[in-house]
Amino acid sequence: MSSGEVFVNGKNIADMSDKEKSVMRRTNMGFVFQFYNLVQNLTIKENILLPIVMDGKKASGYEEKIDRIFIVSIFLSSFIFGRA
Amino acid sequence: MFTVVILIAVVMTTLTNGIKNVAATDIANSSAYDVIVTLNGEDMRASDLRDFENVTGALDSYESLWFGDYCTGSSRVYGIGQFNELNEYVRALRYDGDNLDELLRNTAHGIIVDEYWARVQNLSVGDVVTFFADEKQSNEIGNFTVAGFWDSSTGTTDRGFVGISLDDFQSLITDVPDKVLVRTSTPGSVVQAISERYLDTGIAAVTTEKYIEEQIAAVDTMIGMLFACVVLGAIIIVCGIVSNLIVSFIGRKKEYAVMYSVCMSKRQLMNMLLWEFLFSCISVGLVSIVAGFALSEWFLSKAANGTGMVI
Repeated sequence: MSSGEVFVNGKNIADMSDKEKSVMRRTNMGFVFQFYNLVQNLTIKENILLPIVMDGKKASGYEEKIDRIFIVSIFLSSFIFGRA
Repeated sequence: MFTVVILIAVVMTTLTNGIKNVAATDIANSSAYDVIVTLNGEDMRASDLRDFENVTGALDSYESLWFGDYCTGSSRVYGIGQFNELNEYVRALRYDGDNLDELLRNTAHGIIVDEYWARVQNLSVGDVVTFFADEKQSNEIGNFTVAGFWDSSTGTTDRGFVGISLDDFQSLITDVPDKVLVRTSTPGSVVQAISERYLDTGIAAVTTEKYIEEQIAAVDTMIGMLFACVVLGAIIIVCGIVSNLIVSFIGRKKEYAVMYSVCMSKRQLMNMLLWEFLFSCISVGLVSIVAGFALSEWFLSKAANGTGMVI
């Protein structure tokens, strides 16, 4: 891409500060990396909670929701691959 | 790197100060004389110096350096005529037996050795040790029987003080004293007067204060060499740590990139790194200071014991 503008939620990202861009990335976007990209010193749960914590929210309010996602994931993987 | 530098600095500072202080105190406490006159083979006696102004006492000190097969390094051998008289001038020698002069006179080729080497070499009264005139132990002086033990822990760094009877000393070595130890209230003027009277001889006089300074200078040289070795070691360690840090940073670059792309701003990332750095420095720095002091105390006592001193 050699020219043009990118708008997210009606805002031109070229006009955003670094802080605004980071807020936009952690609140409005989800990432699916092509390769396995987790912070190695953190658990899976902590990796998922990282953007929430960085957004100034308390992790405790989200832990139950993440646990439920885990249960569903385990159920699906055992269904698809025949083992957990 | 910061931690290693603190650790090494604390250990070295405590060690060097400790060794210097111990050496200075030991030498000062063990010398109850104000002027040392080294005779260098000249025929002179303590009685020749008693007419000097302000001289309150003088002692012929029969000393020689021997090399025993029971200890490392040299032994300072004293010919003992009257132990009490010698002990008034050389306070490093402590003997808690009954009559040292009689003990040495009654034991054929009897010697008294320091209890430190007796303990290290498991020596008992009646054991025979051999002394040599040279460090390579090729020129044998003779075999001597251990008659007893004394404690010279504050007077030397090698605990090599040995006592033999003055008769043995004079028959085996020389009947001319090695030094004359002088007591005076005006050491400077006495040194000057001795130097003037014995101008054309090999006799050399020095104040105890100056002698101690020279000894401390020798200790300083030794510490300097030790320090150079440690600094060299530290440079190698620091290079290793820097290399590890660089590898670690490169390894974590991917982690920082993930954090930056997913949720963090540059400022948050920098803050995180800064806090990580501060936390590591302060926590490990504190541990290093405590460990440094503890280690240096341990090293100091080990090093001192290894050389015979008691700390």
